[in-house]
Amino acid sequence: MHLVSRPSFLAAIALALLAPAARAVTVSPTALYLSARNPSALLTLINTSSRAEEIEIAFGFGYPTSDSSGTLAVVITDSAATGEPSAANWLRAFPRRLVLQPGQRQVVRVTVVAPAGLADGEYWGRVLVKSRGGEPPIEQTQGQVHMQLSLETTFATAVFFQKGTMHTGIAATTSAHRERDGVQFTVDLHREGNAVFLGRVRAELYDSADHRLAEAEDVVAVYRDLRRRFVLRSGSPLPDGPLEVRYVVDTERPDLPSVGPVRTEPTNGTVAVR
Amino acid sequence: MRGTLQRGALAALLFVWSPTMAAAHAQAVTVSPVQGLSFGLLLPGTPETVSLDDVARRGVVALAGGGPLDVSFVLPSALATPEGGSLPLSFSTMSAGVLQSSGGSVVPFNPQQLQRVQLATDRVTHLVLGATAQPASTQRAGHYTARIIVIVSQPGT
Repeated sequence: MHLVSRPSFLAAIALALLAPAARAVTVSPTALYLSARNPSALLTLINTSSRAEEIEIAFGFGYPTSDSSGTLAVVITDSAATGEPSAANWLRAFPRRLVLQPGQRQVVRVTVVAPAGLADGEYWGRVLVKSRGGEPPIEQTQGQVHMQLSLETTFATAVFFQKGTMHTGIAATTSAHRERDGVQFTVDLHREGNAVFLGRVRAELYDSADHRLAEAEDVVAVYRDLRRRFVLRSGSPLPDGPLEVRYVVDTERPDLPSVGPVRTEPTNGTVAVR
Repeated sequence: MRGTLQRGALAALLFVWSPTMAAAHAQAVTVSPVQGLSFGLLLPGTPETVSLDDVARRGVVALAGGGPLDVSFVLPSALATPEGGSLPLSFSTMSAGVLQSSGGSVVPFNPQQLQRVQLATDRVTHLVLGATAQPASTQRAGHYTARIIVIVSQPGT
């Protein structure tokens, strides 16, 4: 370690954690579906910036989970925990490293090489498209103090490897109660079947005269269990009378590829507001 | 499983010949770092915080595209030297924010949690990031490095 005077060191610490560069890569599609009979798919990368981008393709594992308040998190790791249906170690990409020139478009083939005798079911992974930019990380030097700070952007694209017949479903447990400025609607979703439930939750708040007072909607990915919480707010104070929330959980996802996602019948319900 | 393998193969061919069409099915997004997060001069033993309202020093990342997007950060807890030196770095539950280019104030969020961002094709949405650096009173000189990872993914996948 180099030793310098404290003032020199302190003067040099001008952290720049995000590179001030106009770099950008577009990745599509944002979900890949593979099967035993169709074991490869294509990712398209486009460099929309004005300088070269260094790209690395890697694989990981992770899916959305929620805490008791319905807050989501996705922790992506290199390897999955024991018992998880991970396809991460079976995925290959070609090419794995590339440099995209400004305006260049590159197709990357993602292939799954599953082990023999694999049980029917759905296996999950993430393609990680890592972009570091074509220039070295920011370096700041003063005297013998040297700092190197870098930023990495990663597109985490979901990969689903499906073997055999896929089916999915959802079981919903709900509750709703008044808050100061609206109604809090909580839905606990439990996935059924052997495939991920990629869908949406739509909730509407009604009064006793069947007037719709508020609505909310969000997409969900239920790999195992997931809690979502919505606050239904109306533009005016809520009436004192009985209220109810009507909800539907379905697999209407026009944002996903038309082929691949497993669909099922909607789940509807009504819950009285406490 | 719905759909046939033939349809899957056709879809793959379409992706080859028309990536733009592929992007139409699943919203394509672009992530662009535009401004660094800078602390400037640090004093020994004195934490320095860059707030979300600090236009000159906060970090900024631009998001372009359409539809919702999930964003999360992998945040370092410190800058480190190869020799084991460390300069602590911390992020609070209000260290990140969303700023729409159409104006308005920053809406803060916790960078330790997944954040749903709604993108619109007619404007650029900005993520802003602050942090606190905590130099020790005995902080030593050296080659300090750190990396922030911004992870974006399609919501509900």
